[in-house]
Amino acid sequence: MTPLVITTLHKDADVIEARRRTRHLAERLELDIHERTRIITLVSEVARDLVLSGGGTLSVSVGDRDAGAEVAIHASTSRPSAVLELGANASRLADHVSTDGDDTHVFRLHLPRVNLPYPAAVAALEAELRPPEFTVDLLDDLLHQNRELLSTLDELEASRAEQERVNAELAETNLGVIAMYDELSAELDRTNRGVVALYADLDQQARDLLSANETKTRFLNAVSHELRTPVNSIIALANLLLERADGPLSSEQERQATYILRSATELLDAVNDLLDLARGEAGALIVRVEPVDVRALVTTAVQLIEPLINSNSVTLNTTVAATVPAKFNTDPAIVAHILRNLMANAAKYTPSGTIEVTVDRAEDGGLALSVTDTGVGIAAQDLTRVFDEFFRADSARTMASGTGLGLALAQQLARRLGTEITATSIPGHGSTFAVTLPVRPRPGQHSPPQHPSG
Amino acid sequence: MDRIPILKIGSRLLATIQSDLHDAMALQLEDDLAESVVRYQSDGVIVDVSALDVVDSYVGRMLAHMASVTRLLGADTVVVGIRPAVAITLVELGLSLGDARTALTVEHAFAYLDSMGAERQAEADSQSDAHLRDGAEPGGGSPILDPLRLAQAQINRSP
Repeated sequence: MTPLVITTLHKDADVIEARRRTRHLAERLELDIHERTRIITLVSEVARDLVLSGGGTLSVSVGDRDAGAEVAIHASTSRPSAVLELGANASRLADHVSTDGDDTHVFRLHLPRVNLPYPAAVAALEAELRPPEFTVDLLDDLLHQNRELLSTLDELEASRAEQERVNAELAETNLGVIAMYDELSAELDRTNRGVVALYADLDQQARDLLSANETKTRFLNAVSHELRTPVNSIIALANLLLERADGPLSSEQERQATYILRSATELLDAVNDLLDLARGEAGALIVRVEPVDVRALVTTAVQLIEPLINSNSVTLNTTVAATVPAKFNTDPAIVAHILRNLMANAAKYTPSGTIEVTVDRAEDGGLALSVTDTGVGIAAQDLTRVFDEFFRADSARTMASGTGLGLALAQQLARRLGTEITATSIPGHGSTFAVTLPVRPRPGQHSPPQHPSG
Repeated sequence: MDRIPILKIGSRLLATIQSDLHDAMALQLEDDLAESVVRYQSDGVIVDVSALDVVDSYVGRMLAHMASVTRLLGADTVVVGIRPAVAITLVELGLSLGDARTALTVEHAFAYLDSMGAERQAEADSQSDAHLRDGAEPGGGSPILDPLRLAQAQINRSP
């Protein structure tokens, strides 16, 4: 029997090589898979035992045996003292175990039949059993792939660690954010409570103001009613005196009776204004919109105001532009009242010169009314307060008697129509009061006034 | 030093032995698996040996040892893909894989580990171990098969 595989064994890697060679031989012998596994395992066991016992040589030979064949594995240890321990496991796989001298164990496997190589082919088989390059390459490839896989795993592990670190940081940041949120929430809560308290305070103040305003309105109403009755009586009695109902009057008596009548009439006007103002503030004034003949309305208002004007020194001009429509939707009573008050105001403070009443069509289709006089005018610092109740400019106080209610009432009425009266003035040269009546009166709403300047 | 990669799949570890195993690689694998079980708190280890045409007593002992170590760490070890010829040879060697369980495929190994997890919750550990030793199918019909048992049966039948 010629040994087909001879291997020297010293280290771990030699066991692998012995297995590889035996595997190749078993394939060439065309052994079935079970026999193949048995032989390779046996060689592996023997080879490892040899390495563990300090090294040795191992040879595999194949020969005929009866009807079948036999594989013999000779294991020679280089340390004779270890012989007895050799092949304890391998013996279980072998069909027959014997010793050959002191240092060699022979393990025999009986096989039914094998494809035995011709003697001439033995050399060729031996050549084949040398480690072929491609096998090494494949093994290297595999090892290389393993290394790459391991490095990828390391990278994954590193990135996982990094991710954990980032997560921890994120969690910490979250805690910070939550703490900050809590702080802000508490702060907001405190502020909210402050605001709520402030609102309650403001609410109370608003209620107080409203109640004060109502009280004032009720007071004005009561006072006006109580005043009007006696004033009317005074006017009636003064008229009776002047009509000589009780006989002739001396010139002095007539002069005094005329004073009484004039004073009483002014007082009545003041009381009437006061009553109107009170009604307006109480919300009792109802806006009634209807198509109004503007020209007729202006003419009537001018006629009513003419007796108040000193016709010797003051000229009253009325200009109604051609673009003004024949009918305009508004509340005629309110517009007449506004116009009357503005003209009365102009007449009162214009000792000489002209009073100009103009009516024009505004850009937005509304009606622009203005009353311009060449009177004493109003100082700039007073201009913003002329519409305040009971306010009278310094220049006005020295000029004429009055309550300071006319403009306030006019402004209040204008606001009922959803507009506002504006005043411009040059002290010593005169004033202009302008109001633009809206196309659609919106009761109670105020719209920015649009009026011709000057 | 070449090492065998260990993949983490959920709470399980999978090590596939792709080449003929050096002794040093085997030792390294044992160390790596024990360390990974602790690090990932794994409850199961699957060792795929389907590429091996030889499992000698050294590798067999290594697998058994590995299973004992991981078991002490609270993880079951399942060896999958043992070839029939290898199984027969292991029986002839008189070798046992000790605490290592076996399964035909990785899927079966996962199913087995799942059933073990469920069983642990349902029963006491000692009871479930006794079931396995008796060869009863855990979890009522788990696809687990023991190639060693099959191989023994085959040997007993052959003349």
